[in-house]
Order: sequence, then C-alpha cells, then structure tokens
Amino acid sequence: MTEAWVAAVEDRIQDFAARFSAVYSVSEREVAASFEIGCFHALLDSYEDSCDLAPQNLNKTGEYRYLTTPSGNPANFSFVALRRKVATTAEYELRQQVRIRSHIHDDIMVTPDLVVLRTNSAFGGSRDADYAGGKRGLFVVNSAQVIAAHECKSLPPFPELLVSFLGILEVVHPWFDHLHADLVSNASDGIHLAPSLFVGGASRALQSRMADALRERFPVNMILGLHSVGWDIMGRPLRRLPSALN
Amino acid sequence: MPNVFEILRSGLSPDLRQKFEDRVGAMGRELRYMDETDNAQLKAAIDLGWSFERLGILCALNSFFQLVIAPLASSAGTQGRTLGDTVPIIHGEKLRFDRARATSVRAMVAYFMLSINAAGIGERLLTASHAGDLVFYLVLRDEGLLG
Repeated sequence: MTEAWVAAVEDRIQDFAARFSAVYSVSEREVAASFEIGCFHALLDSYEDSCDLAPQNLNKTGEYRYLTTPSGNPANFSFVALRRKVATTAEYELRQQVRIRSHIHDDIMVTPDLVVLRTNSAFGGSRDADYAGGKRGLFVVNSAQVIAAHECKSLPPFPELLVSFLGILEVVHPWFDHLHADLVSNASDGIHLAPSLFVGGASRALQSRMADALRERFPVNMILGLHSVGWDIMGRPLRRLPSALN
Repeated sequence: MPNVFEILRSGLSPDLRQKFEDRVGAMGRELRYMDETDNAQLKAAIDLGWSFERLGILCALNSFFQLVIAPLASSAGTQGRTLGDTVPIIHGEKLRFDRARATSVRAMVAYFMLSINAAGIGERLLTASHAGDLVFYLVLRDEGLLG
C-alpha cells in the first residue's frame, strides 16, 4: 500500500504533467538554447546602466536572428549594439557563437557562447582546405577585436570546468597578461563584465571557494548556481574590466 | 498510478529522457553506496522518515528540475524585456523565444513549484548537485538547522 505522502506527490505530479507536458516536452537543444538565452539576458542586464541596448540586423519581420553555430556568417545574423550613454563614440557589439582566432597562433580558434566585440569587426570568410573541404567560407574574428568572451554551462560546476575557462581567458583576450593577472582583476571602473563563466548548477562549499579564488587571482567571473540563486546577477560581487581596456 | 519517475520520464523527448534516466540512476547508485557504507547522514534521514521510496521521488524531482525546469525558465525570467518578448528571438530553423512561450514557461514553473511546496519539499532540495548533498540538506532542514 502506498503511503499518503507518496500518493499525494504522485497525484500532484500527475496533474502537473497533464497540464504542462506540452511545454516541457522539448529537445535537449531547446533546453540548452534556453539557458544560453538566459545568460544573454543576464549579460545585457549588466549593461543597462551604462549603455543603450539596440538589437540590430533583425529579419524582415522584426525578429532577432540568433546565430547558433560558427558555420554561419555573423554578418547575416542579429546582434545587440551597446552604445555608451555618456558622450563618447565608443560602441560595442554583443554577439553569439562567433569563432575567434587567437593572437597566440592563427590555428588556435575557439567559439565562446557569447562575446563582446569592438564594433564593425571583420568576419573573414575566406576558404580553408581543412574546413568543410574548402567548400564554405571560414568565418572568424581576430581576437584583437574581443573585449570579453563568456561561456554558459547549465550543468553543476566542477573544478576542471572552472579551470578550463582560464583557457578561454588566455587565448581570446590579447589584453590579458597572465604575469599581471591580479592587477587587471582588481579593477572595477569599466562598463564591461570581465570574461564570465555562467553556470546553472549549484556549487559545493569547496567549489565556491575555488571560484572566489579564481576571481581574485584572474580577471574573470565565475557566476555559479544560476538555477538556485537566480538570474539577478547584479547583486553579486562581479569583476569589471578597467575602462582603459575599452 | 505510475510513480513520479515514470510520470516525468514519459513526457520527455528521447534525448532528455536519457539524461533524466542517467541522472536519476546515478543518484540512486549514490544512495545505495551510502547505505552500504552505513552513511550517518542517510541513517539520520531514514530515522526522520525518509524511506528509499521517498528519497527516490526527491531524486526524480531534483533531476527534473535541474535538467528541464530550471534551464527552460532561464530564458523566460522577466516580463517586459525587449528581446524574447516584443522582439522574438529566432534560434536556428525551429526554435522561437517570444512572449507567448515565456508566458507558458512561467506558468509551468509556477505550477511545478506550487506542487513541490505543497508536498513540503522546498527548492533547496531541488538544487542539490548530488544525492549526498540532497540527503545532507534534508537532514539539516528536518532537524531545524538549515537557515
């Protein structure tokens, strides 16, 4: 015989499923896209005080075309222009899934989930025999154009995930000098969030300490526990890049 | 009536169903290991009335929240945004994030949390990363030590 608590929970979950299975019966890809868009919104929130946010390059019906893969030409997709509210010509672009070529070596290319670029960056598009058999253009932005790259992971954090983000920091941010990492990380007068790792899962105490230590020693943010702490990230202690880097 | 695991599992797409089964399975194995090694926290939870059947339900709800509910809620958080609301986001060929979608996702999340709270489960148990953490929080909560 089923105990009362178990039966009550089963009743409630049955009722929930009957009402909402059409909403949650989605592909893994849609779930991942939803999380990334949540990070995209959170990042935009961080610019609301300093910039006017203007979606650009919408399609004919006024929809935002989200680039989902580095094989697409970024010029054909939408982005958000970040225009300083103070009198300045500074303007940036928040884009998604843009392949970045590292200043360290031309053959080092990675595609962060979200990236803030200087405006009017060139996207390349020349053919490379080692890419798609030389039949399609290789779209790539030089890392000199990168202000900050950000990654989104819905899963629970683990030490190797946190440390691997330092690879993104190193290879796509020419301004980063690992010998003086603490100097950059102590700055907080700029408009841009330091390169940030957005993580959905909650952290254990040791991982939280590790995330804090990495943020202390490197110009990065480890924004953990978004599923539990919530999406209002502006209440958290966050690193910003010094304005001199802008 | 099917159990909670089966009810939730049956409504998922094949790829998410597999992840759900894997995560619930891993949490179940962790619970069995804790049992085999006479884990003090697990004993305390059982003494507080949390049978393996109940713990299995918590693992299913925890996994469903982390794999499905929370990520879907991510893009539907705030009403009145421009992007994803008045300006729909078209993601690839098929996915569309707009006001209608956000509204239905918010309703789903609210109803799920209502169901969870009615069962006295609490959000902290849904966000535990592992079965061991879940049992740890459960015991702290039931002993009145969780702030």
